[in-house]
Amino acid sequence: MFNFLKRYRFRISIGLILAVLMLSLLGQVESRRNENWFSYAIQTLTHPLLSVTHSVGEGVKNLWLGYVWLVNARSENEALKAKLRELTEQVAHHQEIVFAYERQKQLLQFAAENQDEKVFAEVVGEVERGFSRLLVLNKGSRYGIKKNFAVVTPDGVVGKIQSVTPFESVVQLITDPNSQFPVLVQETRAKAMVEGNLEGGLKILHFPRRMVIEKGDMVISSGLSGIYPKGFRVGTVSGIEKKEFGLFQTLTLTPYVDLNRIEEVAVILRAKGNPEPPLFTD
Amino acid sequence: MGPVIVGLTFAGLSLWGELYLLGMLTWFGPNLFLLSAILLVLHWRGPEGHFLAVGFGLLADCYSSAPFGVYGVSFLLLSFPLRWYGLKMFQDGVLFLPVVVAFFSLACNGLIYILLYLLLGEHRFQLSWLKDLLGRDAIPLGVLSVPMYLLLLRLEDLFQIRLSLRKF
Repeated sequence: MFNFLKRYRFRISIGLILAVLMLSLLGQVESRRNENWFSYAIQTLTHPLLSVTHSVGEGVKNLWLGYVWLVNARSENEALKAKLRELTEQVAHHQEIVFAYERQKQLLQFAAENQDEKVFAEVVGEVERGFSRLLVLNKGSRYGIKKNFAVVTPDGVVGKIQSVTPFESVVQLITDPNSQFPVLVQETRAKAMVEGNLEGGLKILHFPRRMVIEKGDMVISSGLSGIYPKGFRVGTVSGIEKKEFGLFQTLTLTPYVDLNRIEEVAVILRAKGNPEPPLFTD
Repeated sequence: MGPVIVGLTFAGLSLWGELYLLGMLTWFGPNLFLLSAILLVLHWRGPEGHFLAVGFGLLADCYSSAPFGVYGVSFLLLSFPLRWYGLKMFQDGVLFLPVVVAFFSLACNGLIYILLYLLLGEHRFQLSWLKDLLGRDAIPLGVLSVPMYLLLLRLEDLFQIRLSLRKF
């Protein structure tokens, strides 16, 4: 018997294996595929192999995609940069529209709130010559603008019309050294004359020494000159110079309106509280 | 020890190739378990080839949705004519022979599978099945049989073993 088994060990083993497999298959005829320990063991054993392979594969893939695949990246990069420039320009254009809309909205609000008769104009030019700095507006006498009319924004005083033609007018800014007009300190109601200085700011040379004034105090137009209507903001006190003796103190003001960033202005044709046109008009 | 290492190397390669490498290629799908079994049975020629065939078949079964054991049985059955062919006709070192054998083995296997599918299922024959069998399975298997066979010979040299039992 033992000799028989020994002699035919291969055939018997193969027959046994075949029988087991066939029985296993027959057992699965009526049912679904069975889970078995062999599959479980093989899948468990192969897991580390697959994990390592996957990691290595991902590394190679990243290397490929990160470096080798980038052969055409240069030309693609150039095209994308060009596209980016184009889109940036478009965004800037759209942003400009938004800003313009905001300004127009502010002006409309100003037009509704302020009862003065006025005309809106756009700043189309800027002239800097010597110490003077002038703005050119796109509207002139055809719109009723005359010399010495006040030019304002919703924020405050900008200047006055220096010269006018039918189609445009030139504005002398309040910071011009040749500009001078009466103002009022909002808190104390103290009166003074403000004038432009060479540094592009404002100063009050003869402010009574006994008057209490502090940095940050608001200065507004007094309406006494007959040019600027009363109540428009002129500037804030940024410096106080008081000598040991004398009747006056000198104030330095910072213009309330940012005169470097003006794009639209309003020219006051007739102030509500002053039915007469500004003094000294032509 | 050498034959075990060769067998394990082929098993590992087949598993790695089937599970990772070929999964990324939809147009190239040779059955590496079958190819390994064919080459080892052809080259080894001993009765151990049947056990190897069953082993590779069961490995294929582990990653198949068919009833467990289908590949084990079919590989075992295939190993008998292959061993006969290996003993009677196959010549070591002739690279053309494993290509032809692998190609026809898989083609026969595939045709039998299709016939069984038609007999047992309710499907009608589609020409694309044959196209897939040839283009995706059989031809890639034939192509891969050469490097795999060379690898087998190289492993023999490396471990200084002689698997082939045939004496000329």
